[in-house]
Amino acid sequence: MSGALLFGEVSWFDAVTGKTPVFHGIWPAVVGTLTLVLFSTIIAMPIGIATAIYLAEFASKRWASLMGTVVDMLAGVPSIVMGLWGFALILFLRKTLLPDANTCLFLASICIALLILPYVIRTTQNALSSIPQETRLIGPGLGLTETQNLLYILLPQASRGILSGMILAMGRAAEDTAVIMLTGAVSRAGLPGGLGDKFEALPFKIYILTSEYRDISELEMGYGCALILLIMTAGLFLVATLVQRKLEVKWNR
Amino acid sequence: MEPVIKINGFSAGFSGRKILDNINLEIFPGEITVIVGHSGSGKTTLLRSMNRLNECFPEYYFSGEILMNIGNEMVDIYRNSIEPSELRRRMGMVFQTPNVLPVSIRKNFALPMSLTRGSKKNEIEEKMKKALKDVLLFDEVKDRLNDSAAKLSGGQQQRLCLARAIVLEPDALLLDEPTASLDFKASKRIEDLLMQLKRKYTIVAVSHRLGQTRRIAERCVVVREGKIAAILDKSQLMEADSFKKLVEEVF
Amino acid sequence: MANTSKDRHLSEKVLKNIFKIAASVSILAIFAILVFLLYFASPVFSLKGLQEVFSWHWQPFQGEYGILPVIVGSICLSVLATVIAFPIGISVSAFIYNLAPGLLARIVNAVIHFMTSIPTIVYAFVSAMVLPSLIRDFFKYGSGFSLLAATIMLVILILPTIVLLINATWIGYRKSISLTCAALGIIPEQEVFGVVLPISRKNLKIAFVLGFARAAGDTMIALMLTGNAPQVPHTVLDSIRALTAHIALVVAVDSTSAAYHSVFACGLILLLTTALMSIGVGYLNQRQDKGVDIA
Repeated sequence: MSGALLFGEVSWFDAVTGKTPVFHGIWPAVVGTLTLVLFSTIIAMPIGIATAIYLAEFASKRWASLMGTVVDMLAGVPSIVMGLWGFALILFLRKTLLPDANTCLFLASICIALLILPYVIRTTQNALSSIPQETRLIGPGLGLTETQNLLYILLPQASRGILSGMILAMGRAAEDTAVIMLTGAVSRAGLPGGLGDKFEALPFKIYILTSEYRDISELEMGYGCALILLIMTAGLFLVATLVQRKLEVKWNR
Repeated sequence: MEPVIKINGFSAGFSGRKILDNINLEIFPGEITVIVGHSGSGKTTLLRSMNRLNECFPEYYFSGEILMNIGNEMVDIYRNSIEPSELRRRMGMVFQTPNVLPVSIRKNFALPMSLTRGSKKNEIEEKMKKALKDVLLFDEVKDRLNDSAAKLSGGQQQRLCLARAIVLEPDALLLDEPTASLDFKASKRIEDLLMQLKRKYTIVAVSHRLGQTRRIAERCVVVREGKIAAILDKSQLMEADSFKKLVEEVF
Repeated sequence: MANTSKDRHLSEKVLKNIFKIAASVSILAIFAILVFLLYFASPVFSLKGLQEVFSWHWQPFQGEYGILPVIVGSICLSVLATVIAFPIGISVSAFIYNLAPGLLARIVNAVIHFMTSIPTIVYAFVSAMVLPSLIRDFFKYGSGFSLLAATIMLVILILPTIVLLINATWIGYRKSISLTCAALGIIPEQEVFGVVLPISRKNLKIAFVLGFARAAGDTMIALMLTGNAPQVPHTVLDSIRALTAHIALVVAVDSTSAAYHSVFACGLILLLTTALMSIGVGYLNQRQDKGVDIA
């Protein structure tokens, strides 16, 4: 592990600030993966939390169980199929509205968002429904309306559970390879330029290097990518576990 | 004396299972009405039908009517335009186990006050202090209003809950076995408090302790299998014979 | 006062509708996926198309687009991996439940939990560097990129899924059953295999199905360890190609539209299989536990 592995022959300062493009290092893939995780979380989080609130608090029992099955179906969709869907979406757009449509960071973010959406929904739903009955009655007992009770009492109570689920979902977004290989990840792109551009990402870089490495330095780069990705996901996992543990201590008191 | 709450032919239950069966009952102001009965007799459901709290549970159904004196007018709380949240604010409720919010003591008052009454900071501070004095808790907590309410003892928490209900300026207090989770000394304090509070608020309480009932109740309603089995007034409660009958009825 | 209550009413309504709309978006997503795949796979649904796709030869340059060998390869891989991982998963769960001394059980439990956070691509990368050459040297056969190599890694991949699902049920039993069993003079081994195992039959089925779905839906291990030859394997040392890897490979090399159709057919098969499993698990979950029959 060295600076050269991350940034190639470019100095770290120029690379991090984007002054000089990096072509032979891991850095663009690191930034690409972070960007992808950021955008997919921004898309999945509000939709997922709102869906979970609807399922846990407002939907009738029948609807909740029916929609729960659909959410489970979405969770079961293999990631390559999710990627294929994104790819099909582009084919469809090319034929109809946008002849220039191409796979890109934005498309990949949407597909990854769909991939992690069911996790967000399920963890939020679980966090809400594990709030004990007595706590649920505090708000209404004081004259709070249904939504006031939700916003000021139930959601704060569930916040840790929701947060830890969110962090795990981010780990899932960072590691997935199959979706992005069909929706815009490439082996050489430099730092991500915009939502409409192709991008580099750690998992894809690992895949490409495994199948196409030409010399020992490229193989080392593969190990470097794998290590950084592992540190990312393991770090997220540990944070989520800590958040969760604190939550349990709080409930058990 | 005019009743403040009038329950006429009220039946209710959950998922098709009947819990209350044709209840007729009048509640009078300035009195403590105590509901007694076996566990599962429907006394909590009866209490919660007075602030529509049963509707927080799935598949609740009811028939009949409950009238309440709101602004010198008898209003059907289930059919008139009064919002359930407004009704519940007017009927301050205290639960069996103290359910303080896991936030600071101050926030326990500030949150419901600003949400239900739109109170501002100064008003909250003033009314909170008054309510805490009303429940004789102020001296114990005045230096740690920003500490978590969950750190208080059970008895203190229950008095906090009572103060939190009072601070919303309710018309009546609904108490669901408020001393069930407390030791004798803490229970006695709550009882003394209720004797003082009844001058200001109509109080309806569910109790499982007959000694307590005898001490605080002006009127005692015996519920059995969802029906009202008997209503005793103060003199009947004090009379040894009818009290003995009550003991047999309940246990 | 009346006015503010009206405002409040309105904002409540708006908020509720936002939740409803979000829920519909989530539900619509799955249907969008289904519809798109159906649309793009639709050319396959003709007699000629079906004959073309459901044949035994994949030679796109000669105009043969048969995916049957790929389907067979996928089935072999996922069935083999699940059948091996499941008993191991039960053993590990039993170990954690009460067979291991406290500290060791907690360590194993922590490791299993941690394994869920290891990216699949990292597993695939490391094993692609090591495993095939080991297999090649040991068996002196082929390249080592084989059904066997991918199976081994998939077992490792789905083991945590199976163990965590089983543990989630068993943890609830520990409090309620352990004391009763101890009082009856039942030893720990009998408790796990004679009492806990039979009464959690439903959840074991769910763990099996979800483990299988995970194995069948995995792309990277299949892609990087099987060798990707679209053929029916005769031994575990033969190379195979899985449905997931097939999609990745064909889409990557921008091929003809006829090849695309077959890819969408693969996607559809995968989607329908996993959807069926989700419905099956949902059904199992909802079914009341029938009276516990520990004879």
